[in-house]
Amino acid sequence: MFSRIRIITWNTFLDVARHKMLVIQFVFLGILTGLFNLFGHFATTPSLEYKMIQDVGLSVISLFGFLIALFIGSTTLRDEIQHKTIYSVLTLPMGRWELYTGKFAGTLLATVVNVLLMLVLLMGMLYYKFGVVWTGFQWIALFMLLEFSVMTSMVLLFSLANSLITCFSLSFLFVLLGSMAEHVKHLVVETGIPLLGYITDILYWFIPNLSNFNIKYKILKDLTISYSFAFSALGYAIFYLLFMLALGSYILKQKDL
Amino acid sequence: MTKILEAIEITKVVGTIKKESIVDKVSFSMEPGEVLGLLGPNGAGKTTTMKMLLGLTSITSGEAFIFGEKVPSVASRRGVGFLPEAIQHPDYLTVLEYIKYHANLSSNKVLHSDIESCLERVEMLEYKDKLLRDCSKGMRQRVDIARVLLSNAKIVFLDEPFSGLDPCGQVMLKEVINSLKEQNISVLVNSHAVGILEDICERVFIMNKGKILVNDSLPNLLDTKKYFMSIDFKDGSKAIEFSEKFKAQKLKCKGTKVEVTLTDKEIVTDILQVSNTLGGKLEKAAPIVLTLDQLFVNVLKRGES
Repeated sequence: MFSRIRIITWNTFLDVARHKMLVIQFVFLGILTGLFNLFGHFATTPSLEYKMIQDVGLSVISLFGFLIALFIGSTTLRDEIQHKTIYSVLTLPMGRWELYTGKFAGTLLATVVNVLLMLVLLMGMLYYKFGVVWTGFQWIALFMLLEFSVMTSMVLLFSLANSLITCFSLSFLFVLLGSMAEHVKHLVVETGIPLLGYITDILYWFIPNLSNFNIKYKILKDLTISYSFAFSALGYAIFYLLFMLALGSYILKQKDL
Repeated sequence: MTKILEAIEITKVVGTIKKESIVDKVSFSMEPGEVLGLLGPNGAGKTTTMKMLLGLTSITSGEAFIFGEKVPSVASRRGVGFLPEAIQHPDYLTVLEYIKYHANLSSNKVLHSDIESCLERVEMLEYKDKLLRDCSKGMRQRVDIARVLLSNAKIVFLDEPFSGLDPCGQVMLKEVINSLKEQNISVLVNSHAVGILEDICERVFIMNKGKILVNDSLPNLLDTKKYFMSIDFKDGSKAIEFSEKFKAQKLKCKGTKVEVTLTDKEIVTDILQVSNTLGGKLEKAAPIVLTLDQLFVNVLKRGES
Protein backbone atom coordinates (compact mmCIF):
# COMPACT_ATOMS: atom_id res chain seq x y z
CA MET A 1 0.00 0.00 0.00
CA PHE A 2 2.61 2.56 1.10
CA SER A 3 5.07 1.34 -1.50
CA ARG A 4 2.53 2.14 -4.22
CA ILE A 5 1.97 5.63 -2.79
CA ARG A 6 5.75 6.09 -2.69
CA ILE A 7 6.08 4.99 -6.34
CA ILE A 8 3.34 7.40 -7.51
CA THR A 9 4.87 10.20 -5.40
CA TRP A 10 8.27 9.71 -6.97
CA ASN A 11 6.80 9.48 -10.46
CA THR A 12 4.84 12.72 -10.01
CA PHE A 13 7.98 14.42 -8.72
CA LEU A 14 9.98 13.06 -11.65
CA ASP A 15 7.47 14.58 -14.07
CA VAL A 16 7.99 18.04 -12.55
CA ALA A 17 11.73 17.61 -12.15
CA ARG A 18 12.24 16.66 -15.79
CA HIS A 19 9.89 19.25 -17.15
CA LYS A 20 9.80 22.46 -15.24
CA MET A 21 12.06 22.59 -12.20
CA LEU A 22 15.15 24.17 -13.72
CA VAL A 23 13.06 26.81 -15.47
CA ILE A 24 11.43 27.81 -12.16
CA GLN A 25 14.81 28.10 -10.44
CA PHE A 26 16.30 30.17 -13.26
CA VAL A 27 13.36 32.57 -13.23
CA PHE A 28 13.65 32.93 -9.45
CA LEU A 29 17.41 33.50 -9.67
CA GLY A 30 16.77 36.22 -12.23
CA ILE A 31 14.21 37.93 -9.98
CA LEU A 32 16.51 37.66 -6.97
CA THR A 33 19.44 39.21 -8.81
CA GLY A 34 17.12 42.01 -9.92
CA LEU A 35 16.00 42.58 -6.30
CA PHE A 36 19.57 42.79 -5.06
CA ASN A 37 20.44 45.41 -7.63
CA LEU A 38 17.22 47.36 -7.11
CA PHE A 39 17.33 47.58 -3.31
CA GLY A 40 21.00 48.49 -3.39
CA HIS A 41 19.92 51.82 -4.89
CA PHE A 42 16.98 52.53 -2.52
CA ALA A 43 18.11 51.35 0.91
CA THR A 44 19.86 53.90 3.09
CA THR A 45 21.58 51.41 5.40
CA PRO A 46 22.82 47.84 4.82
CA SER A 47 20.50 46.47 7.55
CA LEU A 48 17.48 48.09 5.86
CA GLU A 49 18.59 46.67 2.53
CA TYR A 50 18.93 43.22 4.17
CA LYS A 51 15.40 43.44 5.61
CA MET A 52 13.93 44.68 2.32
CA ILE A 53 15.49 41.86 0.32
CA GLN A 54 14.45 39.32 2.95
CA ASP A 55 10.87 40.65 2.99
CA VAL A 56 10.37 40.85 -0.76
CA GLY A 57 12.35 37.64 -1.34
CA LEU A 58 10.06 35.72 1.02
CA SER A 59 6.98 37.20 -0.63
CA VAL A 60 8.24 36.17 -4.05
CA ILE A 61 8.98 32.65 -2.75
CA SER A 62 5.45 32.44 -1.27
CA LEU A 63 3.94 33.56 -4.56
CA PHE A 64 6.11 31.17 -6.58
CA GLY A 65 5.32 28.34 -4.17
CA PHE A 66 1.60 28.93 -4.57
CA LEU A 67 1.90 29.12 -8.36
CA ILE A 68 3.95 25.90 -8.44
CA ALA A 69 1.41 24.10 -6.23
CA LEU A 70 -1.39 25.52 -8.39
CA PHE A 71 0.08 24.52 -11.74
CA ILE A 72 1.29 21.08 -10.69
CA GLY A 73 -1.71 20.31 -8.49
CA SER A 74 -4.26 21.39 -11.07
CA THR A 75 -2.72 19.39 -13.91
CA THR A 76 -1.24 16.24 -12.42
CA LEU A 77 -4.49 14.27 -12.02
CA ARG A 78 -6.31 16.07 -14.83
CA ASP A 79 -3.57 15.11 -17.32
CA GLU A 80 -3.68 11.49 -16.19
CA ILE A 81 -7.43 11.43 -16.81
CA GLN A 82 -7.31 13.32 -20.13
CA HIS A 83 -4.34 11.33 -21.46
CA LYS A 84 -6.02 8.10 -20.26
CA THR A 85 -2.83 7.03 -18.45
CA ILE A 86 -4.97 6.72 -15.33
CA TYR A 87 -6.66 3.65 -16.88
CA SER A 88 -3.53 1.53 -16.81
CA VAL A 89 -2.92 2.51 -13.17
CA LEU A 90 -6.45 2.19 -11.82
CA THR A 91 -7.01 -1.22 -13.38
CA LEU A 92 -4.23 -2.51 -11.13
CA PRO A 93 -5.31 -3.97 -7.80
CA MET A 94 -5.08 -0.71 -5.89
CA GLY A 95 -7.50 1.82 -4.45
CA ARG A 96 -8.11 5.18 -6.04
CA TRP A 97 -7.19 6.83 -2.72
CA GLU A 98 -3.65 5.47 -3.12
CA LEU A 99 -3.31 7.25 -6.45
CA TYR A 100 -4.82 10.43 -4.99
CA THR A 101 -2.52 10.38 -1.95
CA GLY A 102 0.51 9.65 -4.13
CA LYS A 103 -0.37 12.54 -6.43
CA PHE A 104 -0.76 14.83 -3.40
CA ALA A 105 2.57 13.77 -1.92
CA GLY A 106 4.32 14.09 -5.31
CA THR A 107 2.93 17.58 -5.90
CA LEU A 108 3.88 18.62 -2.37
CA LEU A 109 7.38 17.16 -2.74
CA ALA A 110 7.91 19.03 -6.00
CA THR A 111 6.61 22.28 -4.48
CA VAL A 112 8.65 21.93 -1.30
CA VAL A 113 11.87 21.03 -3.13
CA ASN A 114 11.39 24.07 -5.37
CA VAL A 115 10.64 26.34 -2.41
CA LEU A 116 13.60 25.00 -0.43
CA LEU A 117 15.90 25.59 -3.39
CA MET A 118 14.61 29.15 -3.64
CA LEU A 119 15.08 29.69 0.10
CA VAL A 120 18.62 28.33 -0.10
CA LEU A 121 19.30 30.64 -3.06
CA LEU A 122 17.96 33.61 -1.10
CA MET A 123 19.91 32.66 2.01
CA GLY A 124 23.08 32.09 -0.01
CA MET A 125 22.83 35.43 -1.78
CA LEU A 126 22.14 37.24 1.52
CA TYR A 127 25.19 35.59 3.05
CA TYR A 128 27.28 36.38 -0.01
CA LYS A 129 26.34 40.07 0.06
CA PHE A 130 26.03 40.79 3.80
CA GLY A 131 28.08 37.99 5.39
CA VAL A 132 25.19 37.24 7.81
CA VAL A 133 23.78 33.75 8.42
CA TRP A 134 20.00 33.74 8.39
CA THR A 135 18.99 32.20 11.73
CA GLY A 136 15.22 31.89 11.24
CA PHE A 137 15.62 29.77 8.13
CA GLN A 138 14.41 26.48 9.68
CA TRP A 139 11.19 28.11 10.95
CA ILE A 140 10.44 29.67 7.59
CA ALA A 141 11.05 26.31 5.91
CA LEU A 142 8.77 24.47 8.36
CA PHE A 143 5.89 26.93 8.14
CA MET A 144 6.12 27.11 4.37
CA LEU A 145 5.98 23.32 4.25
CA LEU A 146 2.78 23.41 6.32
CA GLU A 147 1.27 26.23 4.27
CA PHE A 148 2.00 24.51 0.97
CA SER A 149 0.70 21.15 2.15
CA VAL A 150 -2.61 22.81 2.94
CA MET A 151 -2.62 24.70 -0.38
CA THR A 152 -1.68 21.59 -2.37
CA SER A 153 -4.43 19.50 -0.79
CA MET A 154 -6.89 22.25 -1.69
CA VAL A 155 -5.71 22.67 -5.30
CA LEU A 156 -5.71 18.90 -5.87
CA LEU A 157 -9.29 18.71 -4.64
CA PHE A 158 -10.37 21.51 -6.99
CA SER A 159 -8.53 19.83 -9.89
CA LEU A 160 -11.29 17.21 -9.83
CA ALA A 161 -13.69 19.89 -11.07
CA ASN A 162 -14.67 19.67 -14.71
CA SER A 163 -12.79 22.69 -15.94
CA LEU A 164 -9.36 24.14 -15.33
CA ILE A 165 -10.86 27.61 -14.97
CA THR A 166 -13.06 26.41 -12.09
CA CYS A 167 -10.01 24.88 -10.44
CA PHE A 168 -7.96 28.07 -10.81
CA SER A 169 -10.80 30.36 -9.70
CA LEU A 170 -11.62 28.30 -6.60
CA SER A 171 -7.94 27.99 -5.68
CA PHE A 172 -7.34 31.73 -5.95
CA LEU A 173 -10.54 32.50 -4.04
CA PHE A 174 -9.75 30.08 -1.22
CA VAL A 175 -6.16 31.33 -0.89
CA LEU A 176 -7.40 34.92 -0.81
CA LEU A 177 -10.09 34.14 1.76
CA GLY A 178 -7.69 31.89 3.68
CA SER A 179 -5.16 34.71 3.97
CA MET A 180 -7.85 37.01 5.35
CA ALA A 181 -9.68 34.40 7.44
CA GLU A 182 -8.69 35.84 10.82
CA HIS A 183 -9.58 39.41 9.80
CA VAL A 184 -12.95 38.35 8.39
CA LYS A 185 -13.78 36.46 11.60
CA HIS A 186 -12.95 39.50 13.73
CA LEU A 187 -14.99 41.75 11.47
CA VAL A 188 -18.00 39.46 11.71
CA VAL A 189 -17.75 39.33 15.51
CA GLU A 190 -17.76 43.12 15.56
CA THR A 191 -20.91 43.34 13.42
CA GLY A 192 -22.81 41.40 16.11
CA ILE A 193 -25.02 39.57 13.58
CA PRO A 194 -25.38 35.95 14.84
CA LEU A 195 -26.28 34.47 11.40
CA LEU A 196 -23.09 35.86 9.85
CA GLY A 197 -21.20 34.37 12.78
CA TYR A 198 -22.63 30.87 12.09
CA ILE A 199 -21.87 31.13 8.37
CA THR A 200 -18.28 32.19 8.96
CA ASP A 201 -17.88 29.44 11.58
CA ILE A 202 -18.93 26.84 8.99
CA LEU A 203 -16.76 28.38 6.27
CA TYR A 204 -13.88 28.51 8.74
CA TRP A 205 -13.74 24.69 8.63
CA PHE A 206 -13.51 24.56 4.84
CA ILE A 207 -11.42 27.60 4.02
CA PRO A 208 -7.84 27.13 5.16
CA ASN A 209 -6.74 29.64 7.75
CA LEU A 210 -3.44 30.52 6.16
CA SER A 211 -2.67 33.16 8.78
CA ASN A 212 -1.79 30.21 11.05
CA PHE A 213 1.34 29.78 8.95
CA ASN A 214 2.27 33.40 8.40
CA ILE A 215 5.42 33.97 10.43
CA LYS A 216 7.07 36.37 8.02
CA TYR A 217 6.47 39.40 10.25
CA LYS A 218 7.96 37.53 13.22
CA ILE A 219 11.06 36.66 11.23
CA LEU A 220 11.47 40.20 9.96
CA LYS A 221 11.10 41.64 13.49
CA ASP A 222 13.43 38.96 14.88
CA LEU A 223 10.69 37.72 17.23
CA THR A 224 10.98 34.23 18.67
CA ILE A 225 8.54 31.54 17.56
CA SER A 226 7.15 29.50 20.42
CA TYR A 227 6.83 25.73 20.24
CA SER A 228 3.16 25.96 21.20
CA PHE A 229 2.54 28.22 18.19
CA ALA A 230 4.41 25.78 15.94
CA PHE A 231 2.53 22.74 17.30
CA SER A 232 -0.88 24.36 16.92
CA ALA A 233 -0.02 25.24 13.30
CA LEU A 234 1.21 21.68 12.73
CA GLY A 235 -1.96 20.20 14.24
CA TYR A 236 -4.18 22.45 12.15
CA ALA A 237 -2.29 21.58 8.94
CA ILE A 238 -2.46 17.82 9.59
CA PHE A 239 -6.17 17.95 10.43
CA TYR A 240 -7.00 20.10 7.39
CA LEU A 241 -5.04 18.09 4.87
CA LEU A 242 -6.36 14.75 6.17
CA PHE A 243 -9.87 16.12 5.73
CA MET A 244 -9.10 17.35 2.21
CA LEU A 245 -7.39 14.07 1.24
CA ALA A 246 -10.35 12.03 2.49
CA LEU A 247 -12.79 14.29 0.60
CA GLY A 248 -10.71 14.23 -2.61
CA SER A 249 -10.27 10.44 -2.48
CA TYR A 250 -14.01 10.00 -2.02
CA ILE A 251 -14.81 12.27 -5.00
CA LEU A 252 -12.26 10.49 -7.20
CA LYS A 253 -13.73 7.12 -6.18
CA GLN A 254 -17.17 8.24 -7.32
CA LYS A 255 -15.91 9.72 -10.59
CA ASP A 256 -16.66 7.97 -13.90
CA LEU A 257 -13.45 7.89 -15.90
CA MET B 1 -16.05 -24.97 -16.67
CA THR B 2 -15.63 -22.09 -14.18
CA LYS B 3 -16.45 -18.66 -15.45
CA ILE B 4 -13.65 -16.17 -15.22
CA LEU B 5 -15.96 -13.26 -16.04
CA GLU B 6 -19.67 -12.93 -15.73
CA ALA B 7 -21.75 -9.86 -16.55
CA ILE B 8 -25.42 -10.00 -15.64
CA GLU B 9 -27.62 -7.38 -17.27
CA ILE B 10 -25.14 -4.57 -16.71
CA THR B 11 -26.54 -1.17 -17.63
CA LYS B 12 -25.02 2.28 -17.81
CA VAL B 13 -27.29 5.28 -17.81
CA VAL B 14 -25.87 8.74 -18.46
CA GLY B 15 -27.39 12.22 -18.29
CA THR B 16 -29.14 13.95 -15.43
CA ILE B 17 -32.17 15.40 -17.15
CA LYS B 18 -32.36 13.41 -20.38
CA LYS B 19 -31.36 9.94 -19.31
CA GLU B 20 -29.93 7.59 -21.91
CA SER B 21 -28.75 3.99 -21.63
CA ILE B 22 -25.41 3.70 -23.37
CA VAL B 23 -25.10 0.08 -22.24
CA ASP B 24 -28.40 -1.70 -21.86
CA LYS B 25 -28.75 -4.98 -19.95
CA VAL B 26 -25.64 -6.58 -21.37
CA SER B 27 -25.05 -10.16 -20.20
CA PHE B 28 -22.22 -12.48 -21.16
CA SER B 29 -19.58 -14.66 -19.61
CA MET B 30 -16.07 -15.82 -20.40
CA GLU B 31 -14.21 -19.00 -19.65
CA PRO B 32 -10.50 -19.44 -19.00
CA GLY B 33 -8.43 -19.34 -22.17
CA GLU B 34 -11.26 -18.01 -24.29
CA VAL B 35 -10.73 -15.23 -26.81
CA LEU B 36 -13.90 -13.18 -27.15
CA GLY B 37 -14.28 -10.51 -29.80
CA LEU B 38 -16.36 -7.44 -29.19
CA LEU B 39 -17.69 -5.84 -32.35
CA GLY B 40 -19.90 -2.88 -33.03
CA PRO B 41 -20.08 0.47 -34.77
CA ASN B 42 -18.71 3.62 -33.13
CA GLY B 43 -20.74 4.57 -30.06
CA ALA B 44 -22.14 1.07 -29.62
CA GLY B 45 -21.04 0.95 -25.98
CA LYS B 46 -18.11 -1.46 -26.32
CA THR B 47 -15.51 0.62 -24.50
CA THR B 48 -18.01 1.61 -21.81
CA THR B 49 -18.78 -2.08 -21.24
CA MET B 50 -15.07 -2.75 -20.79
CA LYS B 51 -14.68 0.24 -18.48
CA MET B 52 -17.61 -0.92 -16.36
CA LEU B 53 -16.06 -4.36 -15.98
CA LEU B 54 -12.73 -2.82 -15.03
CA GLY B 55 -14.29 -0.56 -12.40
CA LEU B 56 -13.36 2.62 -14.25
CA THR B 57 -16.98 3.57 -14.75
CA SER B 58 -19.81 2.77 -12.36
CA ILE B 59 -22.49 0.22 -13.19
CA THR B 60 -25.95 1.80 -12.99
CA SER B 61 -27.75 -1.52 -12.62
CA GLY B 62 -26.96 -5.20 -12.94
CA GLU B 63 -23.82 -6.83 -11.62
CA ALA B 64 -20.55 -8.26 -12.83
CA PHE B 65 -18.02 -10.66 -11.38
CA ILE B 66 -14.40 -11.31 -12.29
CA PHE B 67 -12.80 -14.38 -10.65
CA GLY B 68 -16.03 -14.55 -8.65
CA GLU B 69 -15.33 -11.15 -7.08
CA LYS B 70 -17.90 -8.44 -7.48
CA VAL B 71 -16.98 -5.51 -9.73
CA PRO B 72 -15.85 -2.88 -8.79
CA SER B 73 -13.44 -4.07 -6.12
CA VAL B 74 -9.69 -4.30 -5.70
CA ALA B 75 -10.00 -8.11 -5.59
CA SER B 76 -11.75 -8.20 -8.98
CA ARG B 77 -8.78 -6.38 -10.54
CA ARG B 78 -6.21 -8.85 -9.20
CA GLY B 79 -5.08 -10.70 -12.31
CA VAL B 80 -6.54 -8.25 -14.83
CA GLY B 81 -4.60 -6.59 -17.64
CA PHE B 82 -5.89 -3.66 -19.68
CA LEU B 83 -4.66 -2.09 -22.89
CA PRO B 84 -6.67 1.12 -23.36
CA GLU B 85 -7.27 2.75 -26.71
CA ALA B 86 -5.12 5.69 -27.82
CA ILE B 87 -3.54 6.65 -24.54
CA GLN B 88 -1.07 9.50 -24.38
CA HIS B 89 1.93 8.12 -22.58
CA PRO B 90 3.90 10.09 -19.98
CA ASP B 91 6.53 11.58 -22.23
CA TYR B 92 9.09 12.19 -19.49
CA LEU B 93 9.66 8.44 -18.94
CA THR B 94 11.80 6.06 -20.93
CA VAL B 95 10.36 2.79 -22.20
CA LEU B 96 12.04 0.87 -19.38
CA GLU B 97 10.95 3.34 -16.67
CA TYR B 98 7.35 3.18 -17.88
CA ILE B 99 7.29 -0.61 -17.74
CA LYS B 100 9.00 -0.66 -14.34
CA TYR B 101 6.56 1.92 -12.96
CA HIS B 102 3.57 -0.30 -13.73
CA ALA B 103 5.34 -3.50 -12.71
CA ASN B 104 6.20 -1.99 -9.32
CA LEU B 105 2.67 -0.69 -8.83
CA SER B 106 1.16 -4.08 -9.58
CA SER B 107 3.07 -5.53 -6.59
CA ASN B 108 4.21 -8.52 -8.63
CA LYS B 109 7.79 -9.53 -8.16
CA VAL B 110 9.15 -8.71 -11.61
CA LEU B 111 12.73 -9.43 -12.48
CA HIS B 112 14.72 -7.25 -14.83
CA SER B 113 15.14 -10.27 -17.09
CA ASP B 114 11.31 -10.63 -17.26
CA ILE B 115 11.00 -7.02 -18.39
CA GLU B 116 13.68 -7.49 -21.00
CA SER B 117 12.12 -10.69 -22.35
CA CYS B 118 8.72 -8.97 -22.63
CA LEU B 119 10.29 -6.04 -24.46
CA GLU B 120 12.07 -8.47 -26.74
CA ARG B 121 8.81 -10.24 -27.46
CA VAL B 122 7.30 -6.99 -28.74
CA GLU B 123 10.55 -6.09 -30.51
CA MET B 124 11.22 -3.06 -28.32
CA LEU B 125 14.26 -4.17 -26.34
CA GLU B 126 16.68 -2.10 -28.38
CA TYR B 127 14.62 1.02 -27.63
CA LYS B 128 14.36 0.46 -23.87
CA ASP B 129 16.25 3.65 -23.00
CA LYS B 130 14.38 5.79 -25.47
CA LEU B 131 12.00 8.44 -24.10
CA LEU B 132 8.36 7.63 -24.83
CA ARG B 133 7.90 11.05 -26.44
CA ASP B 134 10.46 10.00 -29.06
CA CYS B 135 8.63 6.74 -29.87
CA SER B 136 6.11 6.43 -32.69
CA LYS B 137 2.47 5.54 -32.02
CA GLY B 138 3.06 1.93 -33.02
CA MET B 139 6.13 1.66 -30.81
CA ARG B 140 4.19 3.00 -27.83
CA GLN B 141 1.45 0.49 -28.55
CA ARG B 142 4.07 -2.28 -28.45
CA VAL B 143 5.37 -0.95 -25.11
CA ASP B 144 1.85 -1.11 -23.72
CA ILE B 145 1.48 -4.69 -24.94
CA ALA B 146 4.68 -5.51 -23.04
CA ARG B 147 3.21 -3.82 -19.97
CA VAL B 148 0.11 -6.01 -20.17
CA LEU B 149 2.22 -9.15 -20.68
CA LEU B 150 4.17 -8.36 -17.51
CA SER B 151 1.05 -7.99 -15.40
CA ASN B 152 0.64 -11.76 -14.89
CA ALA B 153 -3.00 -11.34 -15.83
CA LYS B 154 -5.48 -14.18 -16.06
CA ILE B 155 -7.83 -12.04 -18.13
CA VAL B 156 -6.78 -9.34 -20.54
CA PHE B 157 -8.95 -6.54 -21.92
CA LEU B 158 -7.73 -5.10 -25.21
CA ASP B 159 -9.40 -1.95 -26.51
CA GLU B 160 -8.56 -1.36 -30.19
CA PRO B 161 -5.18 -3.07 -29.81
CA PHE B 162 -4.41 -3.19 -33.53
CA SER B 163 -4.77 0.53 -34.18
CA GLY B 164 -1.45 2.18 -34.93
CA LEU B 165 0.34 -1.10 -35.50
CA ASP B 166 2.02 -1.84 -38.82
CA PRO B 167 1.30 -5.24 -40.48
CA CYS B 168 4.31 -6.81 -38.71
CA GLY B 169 3.04 -5.45 -35.41
CA GLN B 170 -0.41 -6.86 -36.12
CA VAL B 171 1.04 -10.29 -36.79
CA MET B 172 3.11 -10.02 -33.62
CA LEU B 173 0.00 -9.12 -31.59
CA LYS B 174 -1.96 -11.99 -33.11
CA GLU B 175 0.81 -14.34 -32.02
CA VAL B 176 0.80 -12.80 -28.55
CA ILE B 177 -2.97 -13.30 -28.25
CA ASN B 178 -2.67 -16.90 -29.44
CA SER B 179 0.08 -17.56 -26.91
CA LEU B 180 -2.06 -16.04 -24.13
CA LYS B 181 -4.79 -18.43 -25.16
CA GLU B 182 -2.36 -21.34 -24.94
CA GLN B 183 -1.49 -20.23 -21.41
CA ASN B 184 -5.20 -20.40 -20.54
CA ILE B 185 -5.46 -16.62 -20.29
CA SER B 186 -8.80 -15.16 -21.38
CA VAL B 187 -8.78 -12.23 -23.78
CA LEU B 188 -11.61 -9.79 -24.48
CA VAL B 189 -10.79 -7.85 -27.66
CA ASN B 190 -12.67 -4.80 -28.82
CA SER B 191 -11.61 -4.00 -32.36
CA HIS B 192 -12.75 -2.79 -35.75
CA ALA B 193 -10.13 -5.04 -37.38
CA VAL B 194 -12.78 -7.60 -38.32
CA GLY B 195 -10.46 -9.74 -40.44
CA ILE B 196 -8.04 -10.20 -37.56
CA LEU B 197 -10.82 -10.95 -35.08
CA GLU B 198 -12.02 -13.68 -37.41
CA ASP B 199 -8.59 -15.30 -37.15
CA ILE B 200 -8.15 -15.12 -33.39
CA CYS B 201 -11.60 -15.26 -31.75
CA GLU B 202 -13.58 -18.31 -30.82
CA ARG B 203 -16.63 -16.30 -30.02
CA VAL B 204 -17.84 -12.80 -30.85
CA PHE B 205 -20.61 -10.58 -29.74
CA ILE B 206 -21.90 -7.72 -31.78
CA MET B 207 -23.23 -4.65 -30.02
CA ASN B 208 -25.20 -1.70 -31.27
CA LYS B 209 -26.80 1.16 -29.36
CA GLY B 210 -25.82 -0.41 -26.06
CA LYS B 211 -27.42 -3.79 -26.70
CA ILE B 212 -25.96 -7.15 -27.64
CA LEU B 213 -27.42 -8.18 -30.99
CA VAL B 214 -25.54 -11.44 -31.42
CA ASN B 215 -23.43 -13.57 -29.06
CA ASP B 216 -22.27 -16.98 -30.28
CA SER B 217 -19.27 -19.03 -31.32
CA LEU B 218 -17.69 -17.91 -34.57
CA PRO B 219 -18.34 -21.16 -36.53
CA ASN B 220 -22.01 -21.02 -35.54
CA LEU B 221 -22.34 -17.40 -36.55
CA LEU B 222 -20.56 -17.70 -39.86
CA ASP B 223 -22.27 -20.93 -40.91
CA THR B 224 -25.35 -20.02 -42.97
CA LYS B 225 -26.60 -23.65 -43.05
CA LYS B 226 -26.78 -23.24 -46.84
CA TYR B 227 -24.99 -25.16 -49.57
CA PHE B 228 -23.95 -24.11 -53.02
CA MET B 229 -23.71 -26.43 -56.07
CA SER B 230 -22.72 -25.66 -59.62
CA ILE B 231 -23.50 -28.26 -62.37
CA ASP B 232 -22.57 -28.09 -66.05
CA PHE B 233 -24.86 -30.05 -68.48
CA LYS B 234 -23.13 -29.18 -71.82
CA ASP B 235 -26.66 -29.06 -73.28
CA GLY B 236 -28.99 -26.13 -72.55
CA SER B 237 -32.18 -28.23 -72.80
CA LYS B 238 -30.89 -30.63 -70.11
CA ALA B 239 -30.11 -27.68 -67.87
CA ILE B 240 -33.68 -26.38 -68.32
CA GLU B 241 -35.08 -29.86 -67.65
CA PHE B 242 -33.02 -30.05 -64.43
CA SER B 243 -34.21 -26.59 -63.38
CA GLU B 244 -37.83 -27.60 -63.88
CA LYS B 245 -37.40 -30.64 -61.62
CA PHE B 246 -35.91 -28.60 -58.77
CA LYS B 247 -37.82 -25.36 -59.24
CA ALA B 248 -38.73 -25.38 -55.54
CA GLN B 249 -35.04 -24.66 -54.82
CA LYS B 250 -33.26 -21.36 -55.29
CA LEU B 251 -31.40 -21.80 -58.57
CA LYS B 252 -29.95 -19.89 -61.47
CA CYS B 253 -29.77 -21.29 -64.98
CA LYS B 254 -27.04 -19.71 -67.14
CA GLY B 255 -26.95 -21.47 -70.53
CA THR B 256 -25.65 -24.96 -69.88
CA LYS B 257 -24.80 -24.19 -66.23
CA VAL B 258 -27.07 -24.39 -63.21
CA GLU B 259 -26.21 -22.94 -59.80
CA VAL B 260 -28.24 -24.17 -56.86
CA THR B 261 -28.39 -22.78 -53.32
CA LEU B 262 -29.79 -25.34 -50.91
CA THR B 263 -31.17 -24.90 -47.46
CA ASP B 264 -31.88 -28.62 -47.08
CA LYS B 265 -28.91 -30.96 -47.07
CA GLU B 266 -31.18 -33.99 -47.72
CA ILE B 267 -31.82 -32.95 -51.33
CA VAL B 268 -28.13 -33.20 -52.27
CA THR B 269 -28.44 -36.95 -53.06
CA ASP B 270 -31.50 -36.36 -55.27
CA ILE B 271 -29.74 -33.55 -57.13
CA LEU B 272 -26.66 -35.65 -57.76
CA GLN B 273 -28.78 -38.56 -59.04
CA VAL B 274 -30.81 -36.39 -61.42
CA SER B 275 -27.77 -34.52 -62.70
CA ASN B 276 -26.00 -37.83 -63.38
CA THR B 277 -29.02 -39.11 -65.30
CA LEU B 278 -29.09 -35.91 -67.37
CA GLY B 279 -25.33 -36.09 -68.02
CA GLY B 280 -24.46 -33.14 -65.79
CA LYS B 281 -21.00 -32.65 -64.33
CA LEU B 282 -20.66 -31.37 -60.76
CA GLU B 283 -18.23 -28.44 -60.87
CA LYS B 284 -18.47 -27.12 -57.34
CA ALA B 285 -20.19 -28.08 -54.07
CA ALA B 286 -19.50 -26.24 -50.84
CA PRO B 287 -21.24 -24.95 -47.72
CA ILE B 288 -21.91 -21.18 -47.82
CA VAL B 289 -19.91 -19.48 -45.05
CA LEU B 290 -20.02 -15.76 -44.30
CA THR B 291 -17.00 -13.65 -43.53
CA LEU B 292 -17.12 -11.79 -40.22
CA ASP B 293 -17.51 -8.40 -41.89
CA GLN B 294 -20.46 -9.74 -43.94
CA LEU B 295 -22.01 -11.06 -40.75
CA PHE B 296 -21.37 -7.74 -39.01
CA VAL B 297 -23.12 -5.76 -41.76
CA ASN B 298 -26.02 -8.25 -41.91
CA VAL B 299 -26.54 -8.17 -38.17
CA LEU B 300 -26.50 -4.39 -38.04
CA LYS B 301 -28.94 -4.11 -40.94
CA ARG B 302 -31.22 -6.67 -39.32
CA GLY B 303 -30.93 -4.80 -36.02
CA GLU B 304 -31.92 -1.53 -37.64
CA SER B 305 -34.86 -3.03 -39.48
